[in-house]
Amino acid sequence: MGESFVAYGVRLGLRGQTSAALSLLRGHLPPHARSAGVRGVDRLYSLVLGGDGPRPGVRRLHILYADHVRIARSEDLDTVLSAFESEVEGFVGVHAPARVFVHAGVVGWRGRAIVIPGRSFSGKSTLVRALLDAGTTYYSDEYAVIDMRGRVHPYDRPLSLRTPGAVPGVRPSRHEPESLGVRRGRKALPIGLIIATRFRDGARFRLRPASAGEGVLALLSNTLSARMRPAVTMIALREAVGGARVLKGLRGEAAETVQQILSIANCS
Amino acid sequence: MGDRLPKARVDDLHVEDLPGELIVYDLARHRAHRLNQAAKLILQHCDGTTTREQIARVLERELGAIHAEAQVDLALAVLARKHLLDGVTPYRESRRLWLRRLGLAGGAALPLVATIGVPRPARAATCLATGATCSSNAQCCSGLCLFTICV
Repeated sequence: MGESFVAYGVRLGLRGQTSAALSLLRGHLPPHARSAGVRGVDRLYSLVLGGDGPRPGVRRLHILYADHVRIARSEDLDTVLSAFESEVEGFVGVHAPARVFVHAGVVGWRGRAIVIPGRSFSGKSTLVRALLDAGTTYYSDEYAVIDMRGRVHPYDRPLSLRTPGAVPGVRPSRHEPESLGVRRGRKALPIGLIIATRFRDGARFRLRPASAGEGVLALLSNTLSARMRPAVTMIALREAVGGARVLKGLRGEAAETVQQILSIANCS
Repeated sequence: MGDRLPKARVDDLHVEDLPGELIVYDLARHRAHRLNQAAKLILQHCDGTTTREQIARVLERELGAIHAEAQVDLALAVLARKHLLDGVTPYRESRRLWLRRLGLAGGAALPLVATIGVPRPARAATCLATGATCSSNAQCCSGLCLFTICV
């Protein structure tokens, strides 16, 4: 069985032996992926479900292919689906035409976006959650999707929340924004504030104004397509920082940081 | 310093001119450089026909630089080291030496070039922490999935 989708302009094919397998993959597509019915796709994902084998004591593994390449094989279906999600997000992020995907948390505040670039485990999801609790609108806790005019589009997949003090390796739980009382942002926003911070336990919130160029480098070092499409990336990032304030520095606990960020954003 | 007239490299570069600074993406090495105003001014005058003394005069005139010739020498050394000048250049002295010579270790108006390595797509993407269950190297922040565990 097969189905095709388009996500941010990238055509994706899904294939599974059963509708259940297909449905599992569908549930882990990037946000705003829509069924397309296109004939050719940019990448075809195939899930082979494992389970009990033909003989007692034999188990088949779950296997995921991207085109002809096996990208995951495990007894644990969640591990395979997590690999699918990570792979498909990365593929769309690198190949989306006229969009630049920056690994960042994004919230909307008074018609402008606050962008917090950072890799996994940099604490950006925690900071995004704290900003949402303060009344901002949700755009993304994973990618800032920037168009060629420098505006940020929503990448509003369910929020990932790690339990405080959780050991590494434990997957974060996912929550629909509405279940947390959070509003989703709908329209593309210009960037008002870029916060390039590093978390340090016990650190005082200490940010210094930085230049637009420093903002470009902060975004560039978290951009998926930077190496593959440098010219497009650089133009989009130049536009993105055009009207933005850039702040760099250290931050401590998210809750203490939020009010200061919003008061800075109010002055932008 | 050498006798050759400094010339900026133009091949395999993408340049974005921002107010008061310059971003240069080195397409061959996948490194991005941010030049502050002084470094930008110096690089923009490295046209293969302008001498370092002439560049120093421009720096004095435009930015009111002190020790302008030493600053130009420092910038040329840095730009050469970062492969932003054409050909093999003789500008090969350490930044620390120049700072000592300039006596301006804390000087804010010095020509500065900040550089980052541009990440591969997998490194910029979501990754799993050490200890997480994985099925391929690409999933792990460390890039190494050993016996289904990110190390």
